[in-house]
Amino acid sequence: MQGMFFLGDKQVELRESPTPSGPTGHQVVLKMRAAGICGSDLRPYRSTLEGLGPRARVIGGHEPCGEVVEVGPEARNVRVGDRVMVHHYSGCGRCEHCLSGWSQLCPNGMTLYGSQAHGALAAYQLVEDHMCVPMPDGLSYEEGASCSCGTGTAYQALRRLGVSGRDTFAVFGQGPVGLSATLFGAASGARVIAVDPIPERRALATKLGASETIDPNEVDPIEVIRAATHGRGADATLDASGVADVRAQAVRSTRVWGRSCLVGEGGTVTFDATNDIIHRQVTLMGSWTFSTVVLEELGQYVVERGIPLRDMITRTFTLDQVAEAFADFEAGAAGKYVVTFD
Amino acid sequence: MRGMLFLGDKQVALREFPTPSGPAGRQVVVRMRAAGICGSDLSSYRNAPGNLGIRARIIAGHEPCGEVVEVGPEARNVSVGDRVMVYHYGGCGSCAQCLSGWWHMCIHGEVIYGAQAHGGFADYHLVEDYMCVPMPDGLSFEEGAACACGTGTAYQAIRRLDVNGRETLAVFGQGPVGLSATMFGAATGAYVIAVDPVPERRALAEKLGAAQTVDPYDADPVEVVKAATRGLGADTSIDASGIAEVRTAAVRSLRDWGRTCFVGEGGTVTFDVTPDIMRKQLTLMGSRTFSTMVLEELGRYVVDRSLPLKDLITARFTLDQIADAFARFDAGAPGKFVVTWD
Repeated sequence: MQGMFFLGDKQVELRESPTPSGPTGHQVVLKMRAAGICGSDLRPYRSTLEGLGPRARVIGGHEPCGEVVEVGPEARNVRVGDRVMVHHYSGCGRCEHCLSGWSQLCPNGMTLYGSQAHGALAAYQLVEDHMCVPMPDGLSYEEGASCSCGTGTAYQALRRLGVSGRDTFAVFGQGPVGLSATLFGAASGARVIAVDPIPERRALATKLGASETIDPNEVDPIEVIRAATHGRGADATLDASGVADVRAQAVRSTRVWGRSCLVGEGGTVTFDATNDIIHRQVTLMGSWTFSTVVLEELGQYVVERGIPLRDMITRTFTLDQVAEAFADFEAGAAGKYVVTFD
Repeated sequence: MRGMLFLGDKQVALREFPTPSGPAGRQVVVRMRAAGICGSDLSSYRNAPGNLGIRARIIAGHEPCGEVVEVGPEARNVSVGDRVMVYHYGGCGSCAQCLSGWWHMCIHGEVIYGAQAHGGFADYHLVEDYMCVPMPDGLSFEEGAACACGTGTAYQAIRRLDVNGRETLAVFGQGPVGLSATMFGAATGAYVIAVDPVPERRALAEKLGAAQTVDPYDADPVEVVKAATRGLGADTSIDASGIAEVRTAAVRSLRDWGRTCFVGEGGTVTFDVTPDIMRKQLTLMGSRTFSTMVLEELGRYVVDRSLPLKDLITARFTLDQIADAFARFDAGAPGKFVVTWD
């Protein structure tokens, strides 16, 4: 089969790789139907070849979604023909984190699929049974792929923040994670203020339910958010940008007793302890993806509540077109890009 | 009457002031019986004379406790003879924060008694009725003074963190606030690890219930906390030092899903976002003192549960000896220092 490898310096390549078959133990072979491109894929994409390390030898992609075609003799709770989203982490299976569905937190050695084991950008993927999360009827493979990392990350952040319909919720950064947060914030009844410098992303945020959008290159988001909230600030904010100054803005635009959650990865952040944190009684959370249990809940939620997740998926590509998909996504395109397979 | 002023450069002076009398409206005159010295007084004490601003003309002291001797015609819920802790902030009285007892979070700006209005290092103190928080029988004036800022700050941090008896709590800094946090942590049943470079403070932390103490000049507290928790890290931590690097250590000593609370004021804090905040699924809270209701609750809690707060109070001074009290406290003496009146 063909699989996509990062070559560094914004180059990717399809290369022949053995098609997985004859799974052993708890292994499962998945026929890929959709695989999303995630903002965090841009780091290996932009990396040098040396910077890639072992990633250069594994198939990229960590938002897999597909159909089970073969199961190992000890695989449990999964059958041939199941439609599944893939939780792209595997751990020891015995620690409290693995047992509660948070295998990415396993202290005994965690494997990140798409970085340390073959990932999603291929016709087939070899995974473990516990990684296969059932999808409800009515959830498309494209939507399932999106849920498998970026959209799921936004969903868990909203769960952590406890966003409610009484809240004003400001979302900094309207890439796929930020747009998903806008979507879920609006679905929860909150007034959502979406911040991004790219006009097409702001337009999509409005379509997904944002009440207001802010171009941070035009105006100071903190000022606009305060002006929109009787001078008080937002009840809850999310940073999905991963930019140090934007993180600080996300915290500073909360009201007294406000909550803020960081999901954008990498880099640093510096706060003025008294004025940013202590005297404003802030609660700041870090959130890293989601558990298998939350991913399953998310699939059901999207279908049962008619969440317009499909509107966020703006382009689909075949695997042959993956280089073009990356080039366009990297240029700051709006919405989720998904590679689909027949 | 006598009142104490900061002169800057570690000098204080007693000056003669008009004794407050004939309170108007909701004003109340409190005869001082005890006033604590707080860690935050040291920033004024150590300040250059030119930087004191209005503080150079204001009687200092923001941990007042005493007896009501006169009440204005409109004063409510307070009578002559009442024993009261003074909550040292005024606000507009009509915003959501003031109405819920969080006057120092007043959206129209708070007045800090002891910094912007005369404080507690004086024979008498003119306050507003709502600042007078009733003390239960059995709580001494000295204990009430400690509760009125430093000890109350620690109590509210423990409430915010929701520390419980299954947990490990690491307390960074064992000044009066940190020692109080150690005491309250131990009272919840938590395993408390107290961190401070001053041996006498560590000894006092043990007396107040710390299960373990760490000298950060002798061993890396993050390593010690991990070793004490099977490599996991503490469930909760508090920074009561106000030092940027120590705040970072308070976060790095936590396990995944850990909670930390910052109460030490001033300066900055910088995080490496992915490992410190996201991978840890961190919850970080800033906490500034407490509400009037929490202060009243604290007084009852100390008495009803027989907390050894009196053991925290290590030295007593008359107002005439206050220069000596500040000099010794500034040098890092352990425990709470209190000025008392007959």
